[in-house]
This record gives sequence, structure tokens and C-alpha cells, in this order.
Amino acid sequence: MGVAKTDEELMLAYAQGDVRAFDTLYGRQRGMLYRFILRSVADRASADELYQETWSRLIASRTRYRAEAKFSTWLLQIAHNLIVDSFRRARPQAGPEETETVLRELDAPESERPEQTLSEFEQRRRLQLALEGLPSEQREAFLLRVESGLGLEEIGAITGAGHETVKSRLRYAFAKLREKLNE
Amino acid sequence: MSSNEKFEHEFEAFLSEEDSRLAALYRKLPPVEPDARLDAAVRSMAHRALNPQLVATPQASARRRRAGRWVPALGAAAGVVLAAGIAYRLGPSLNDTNYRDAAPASRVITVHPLDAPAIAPPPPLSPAPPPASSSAPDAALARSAPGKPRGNAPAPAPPAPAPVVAANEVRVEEQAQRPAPAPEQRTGAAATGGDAQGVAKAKPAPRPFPPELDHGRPQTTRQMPQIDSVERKQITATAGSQNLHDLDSRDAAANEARERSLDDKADAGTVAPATAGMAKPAAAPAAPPPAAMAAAPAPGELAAAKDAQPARGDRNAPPLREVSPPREESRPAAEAEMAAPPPAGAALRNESSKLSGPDALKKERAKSADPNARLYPEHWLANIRTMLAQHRRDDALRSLAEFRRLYPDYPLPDDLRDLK
Repeated sequence: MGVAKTDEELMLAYAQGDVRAFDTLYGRQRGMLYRFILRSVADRASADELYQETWSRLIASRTRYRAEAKFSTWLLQIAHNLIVDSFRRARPQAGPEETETVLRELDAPESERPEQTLSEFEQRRRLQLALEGLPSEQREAFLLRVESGLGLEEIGAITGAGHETVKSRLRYAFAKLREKLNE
Repeated sequence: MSSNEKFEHEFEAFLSEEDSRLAALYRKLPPVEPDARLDAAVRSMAHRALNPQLVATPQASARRRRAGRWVPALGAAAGVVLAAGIAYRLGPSLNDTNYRDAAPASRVITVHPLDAPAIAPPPPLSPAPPPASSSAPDAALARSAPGKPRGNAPAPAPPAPAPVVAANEVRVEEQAQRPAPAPEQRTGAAATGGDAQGVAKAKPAPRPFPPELDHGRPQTTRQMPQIDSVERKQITATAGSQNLHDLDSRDAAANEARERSLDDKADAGTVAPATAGMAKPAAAPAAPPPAAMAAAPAPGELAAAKDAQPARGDRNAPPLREVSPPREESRPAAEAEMAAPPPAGAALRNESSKLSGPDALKKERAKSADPNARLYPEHWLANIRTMLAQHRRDDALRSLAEFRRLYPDYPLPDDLRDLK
């Protein structure tokens, strides 16, 4: 059995007409990309649309792909751009009802909040809610770090931000999530 | 450790991918994935990008598979149709070949030299009366299809009036002397095949003329007007003996057809009127030439034909080529006697007049030791030539002497006239 091809090799093979290479590559990246998009937009329909659009952009630009760039970085960069565009089109994100709900929760005593009695399952639910409450840049940096395992440089390459900016976004995201989970 | 320091420591662990409570909790989130519909959409999108003509749907794949299965079947069907077409195209030519092989020996006459002496006046070119049209052709057809009833239409008129008694006598004699069925002869002739080239050259057109009608026909000379005697000799040389036997068998079959037609005529009791009509042929435009040629021959010719039948049945009989060539200067005279019988009949008539009638000539020929005496004169002469070609000069001279005895008035060809 031969050595498995890297994502970059598979992408180059697909660019040269190998359909099976794409199938292999897609199988590797589909879950990570979908979760990243879904947890970035918190809307399944939008996530499906962005997910399909991400792959469509990748397929359309397959001949321009160069192996110097890491494939996952390239893929996530496409998804990131689409997510940012979707945020810009969807502003303001929070409607009056959603804002009112957040304020009401903030005002209620902690003992009365239902999350106080949550188990681990409820801890995951709380994390999800905390992620949704993060600013998009901080959430995206956190997701790229946790979901894709990217470092500061890679996150910066994807998001177009500098090293310190990425580190700062991660710091703020980490603090808010920690606070939410420790509450 | 202050809370601030604790936070920094946890954050560094988070950045350095060490065990982090927050990362561990995140990994416990449900591993959501795209559904199958989304996967299929993306994959088909990727496949279409490489092959625009490809419609990556299950239905399209099934259609392609079905079309692929039909390709061998369509190829086989096309092959069968092609083979059937070839067989259909070759069928008529093969049948035509068989038909020509089984045709009467009248085709042999087409090799007569143009400059040969006229052995008999040509038969009338004008069509015979409608009743005559069903005589010989019907007989030939009746032989080929035994179950087919023969028509009893009145026979055409022979050149000279003949009594009904003579016709009846001929019919009785024919019934007594009728040779073995001709189909075997035809089959043998067709089976032997012979030299196809010689047959093709000797038979320019596959028309079933009775043999007695083709003798001395001007039409035969018109069929090969541009062939000189040298070419005709080449044609004769290319024809093998097997082919000549084949032709002889066909001649015998044609004679049988003629006899059957005479049977019909005699049964209808119209031989005498038909004979009278043959002397001056009626103009029946619709009747085909074979019908005109099927006119009833003179009694002397009938007798000669009857006598010739056993010899015709001999498949080893000598070839019929190189018969006495009619001369060009004699053709007008021959054409003047359009309704005259074939040369053998004419010669026999002349001879029989000297021997006190056709019966005497017939007896004289029957008594002859030479089996060629039962043949037509031109065929006899052809056999003599064959003997010469086979270096049987003594036999040829004896046969020629017998020929001169029986046909003293017959104009011999140049090559045999001075044969000593």
C-alpha cells in the first residue's frame, strides 16, 4: 500500500483531471469545513449555502492552486471570505427580540438561570451559546484554532490579520468563553 | 496564583495545544457534518467541472449503461442485415447462372461463325400467334415445375401444311421414344458446372429458346455481330469438354420441351393449322420471340428431333461448338424463308425427298452405324471437328463419309469440305 497523498497533492491531481483525487480530498475536509461554517454562522441553511459555495469557489479556481499554500488554509480562507460577506449582508445580526432575551438573562440572578443546573450536556450547550455571542473575528479565530488546529500564523494568513491581532482576538475570545463557562 | 496569572497560564496552554478545558469541551460538541445531498451536490459539481458533457446523475449513468448494452446488439443486427442484403443481391445472379446452365442448348448457336454457310433460314422474327406462345416455354416450365399443368393452346403454324395424321403419328412415336426425364440431365449439367467462361461466352443472353428455334436464327448472329471467326475459335478453344457436355445435355432437355409442346399441339388437334400458320407467321405483337420460335416444326424435323433424342441424352456426347457456320451471302436467302424449319429439318427434308419420304430418311439414319447420325447436321459436324482435334482422324473421316451419304446436299464448311 502506498503512502497516502497529502491534501496538496490531491488538489493538484484534481486540477489535472483526477476526479478520484477530489473525492478523497473532499472526504478529508468536509467535516471540518462544515463545522467551521456552521458554528460561524449559527444557521444551518446559511451554513449549507456557504459550504456549497466554498467548494464551488475552490473548484472554479482549481487551476490557480499552487502547492506552496497549505490546502486547508486555502479552503478555510475561501470559507472565511464567504462568511464575512454573509455577515456584512446580514447586519444587524441581532434583532430586537434576541437583544431583549440577552438583556433579560443578564438581569436575572444566576441561581434562577436554567444554565445553573446544567450537566456536561448543558456545558456544551453553554459553550455553543457563548461562541454565538462572540464577535465574529474572535469566534472565527477561536474556531480556526480549536476546530482546525491552526497556529497564529495560519490564522493570520486566513483572516488577513497580523500575528498580534490574532493573538489578541484569541485572548478576548478565550476570556469570554471561560467566563461564560465558569459562571 | 492570582486569577490573572491563572488566566494567562490557561491561555498559554490553549495556544500551545496542551490540554485545555475549553478545547476539551469544544471537542465534545456534536460532530455535525454535511448531509448526503450536500455531498452529492459538491461531488457532481467537481465532476462536471472536469467533463462538461458529463451529467453526473444516476439516471444519466443508467442511460449510458443501457446504451452500452445496445451497441453489440445493434452491431449484430447490422451484420445480419448486411449478410441478407448480400445474399439478396447475389441470389438472382446465382439463380440466373443456374437458369442459364439449365437453359436449352440454343445458346450454343451464338458461337456460329458469321461467314458460315446458311444451314437453314432463320425463324420468323415476328411474334407468333398467341396460342403458340405457350407451347415450348410452357413445356420448359412444366418440366421445371412438374405440378404445373400444361396449356393446351393451339400450336403455331409450321412452314408447310402437314396432315393431322402425321402429327398424331409423331406424337405416338415421341411417346414411344421419349428419353429419360431431362431433369437428371439438367441437374448433371448444372452440377458439372463446366467452364463458366466458356458458357458465358457462348450464352450472351439467358433466354429459354427451344433448340429447334435457335438453329440458324438471325438473332443469334446479331447477338455477336462483331466477333469474327477467329474470336469464335478462341471461344471454342476456351470451352472445356465438360462444358460442352453440359451444353449437350441442355440441348437434350430443350428437345424434350419441344416434344412436349408438340404433344400439346397434337392433343389439341391443331398441328395442321398451326403448320399452315407457320408458313406465313402471323403478326402478334404481344407474343415474345420465344413463342414465335416455338412454332411447330415440320414433320421431318420432328422426326429428326425424335431420332436425335437418345443421342442427346448421352452426356458424353461430343461438343456442340463450331457448327456449320452460316455464310453472310446465304443470309438473305435464309431470311427469305423466315418460316422454314431449322437446318437439320431442311436437310432431312431434302434427303427424305430423295429417299422417298421422311420415314425413309429416319430409317436410314437409324440404320447408320455412326451414332452421330441421330444428331443435327451441324452438331454432327462439330463432333467430327472434335474427333479431328482429338487426333481421331480415321473416325472423323468415317463419320464425315457417313454424313455425306446421309446429307449429300448439305454445304460442308471449308475445313471439312476438303478433308481426305
